[in-house]
Amino acid sequence: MTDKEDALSTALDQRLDDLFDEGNLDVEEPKPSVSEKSSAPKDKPQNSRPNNFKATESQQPGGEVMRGLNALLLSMEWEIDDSVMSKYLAEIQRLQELHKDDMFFINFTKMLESIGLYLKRHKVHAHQDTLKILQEIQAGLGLLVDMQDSLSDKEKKIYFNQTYERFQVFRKQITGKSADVTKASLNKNTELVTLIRGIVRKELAMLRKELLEELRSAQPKQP
Amino acid sequence: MALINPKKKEVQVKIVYYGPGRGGKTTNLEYINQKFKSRIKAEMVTVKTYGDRTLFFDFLPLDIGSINGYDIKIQFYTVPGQVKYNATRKLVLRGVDGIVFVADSMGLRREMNIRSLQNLEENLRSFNKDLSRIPLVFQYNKRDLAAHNIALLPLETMQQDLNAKLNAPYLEASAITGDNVALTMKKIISITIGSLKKKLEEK
Repeated sequence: MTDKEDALSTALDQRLDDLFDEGNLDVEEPKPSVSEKSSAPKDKPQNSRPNNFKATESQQPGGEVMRGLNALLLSMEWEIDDSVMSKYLAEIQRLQELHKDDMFFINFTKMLESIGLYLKRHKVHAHQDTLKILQEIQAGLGLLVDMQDSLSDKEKKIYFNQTYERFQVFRKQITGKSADVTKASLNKNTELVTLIRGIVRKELAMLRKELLEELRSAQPKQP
Repeated sequence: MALINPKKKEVQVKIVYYGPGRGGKTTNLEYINQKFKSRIKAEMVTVKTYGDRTLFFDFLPLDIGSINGYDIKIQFYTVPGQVKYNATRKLVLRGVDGIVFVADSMGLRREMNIRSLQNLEENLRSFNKDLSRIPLVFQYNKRDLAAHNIALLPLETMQQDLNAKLNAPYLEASAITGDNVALTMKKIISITIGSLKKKLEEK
């Protein structure tokens, strides 16, 4: 290293040390940014956990039973392709087979299966809340697995119904949206057809009139 | 390549934080922005979508002052981690001078780290750039999760998966607690400026 180079790197290192010297700061510890504050749910305390991602990724509700399904859901954050979705649906079927006597488990997985199929069909073009709903329902199933022994059937039913309502709202959002679009486009088509028919009829009537007039004028006049 | 204005005696350097979704790229910049706010004297720009995900990119300008008569301005960018935003990632990578690859240390994220690094290599290749020739620092993020009994990838595994061929500098860090966040930034600035100087001298 030449003296010039050495001088540059020393000057740079010195400047960076000054800039990033954590021991001599006159400001407070980092706080959540404005955007974080505004987007965070009001009923949850800020920074109550070391990080936001832990709430969904680190707790892993459902433990070993849900491990495969949770891993596949995480990988959807990165990419939603046929391979991931097929694995996800296959894992659901495997779990359904294993827990075929547990009605609540089966019903929960049916919701996951339904959303999974929808996601497989539409991938990144699926409704923007799809992954969120899938995460919610899957976390719900995980909690049900975790609390299996401490919940009565009645409590499980209430818990399932709440989740099912959420699922139904989402389903309506999707089907309602597409139904509305179809209805609207049908209405537009009918209006267009009526308009075109009107124009064609009018033009035909004018043509007919013109032809009749021409024929009349072409006929020799009677003496 | 960095923008050099000999008239103004100004050098503008572009550094990109790359890595899989939810790996902590934005948290890195947010930490720096909050912690050193009084010294940075610039605003971080961020565009987020629902669920607090980066939609386009985050941008943090940093003026490190005059060195050897040149005013050095660094621009930090993050890219959106989700696959569907690859066009944005490519756009942000254009003209990059240095890269911090923020890898997620969680066991479940192993494959995503590898795929994200492959994606970085592919995107650079589309600009005829070779990752092994670009200043690069690996940050193995979320190491604090070990204290919460969460299974993390061993350092050796991460090195083997990501850095075996590249042999770039690496740091274990926690963007949320700030451990080694500033050090990562110092490291990438230092090697990027060193590399730029070398390139200019070769010309």
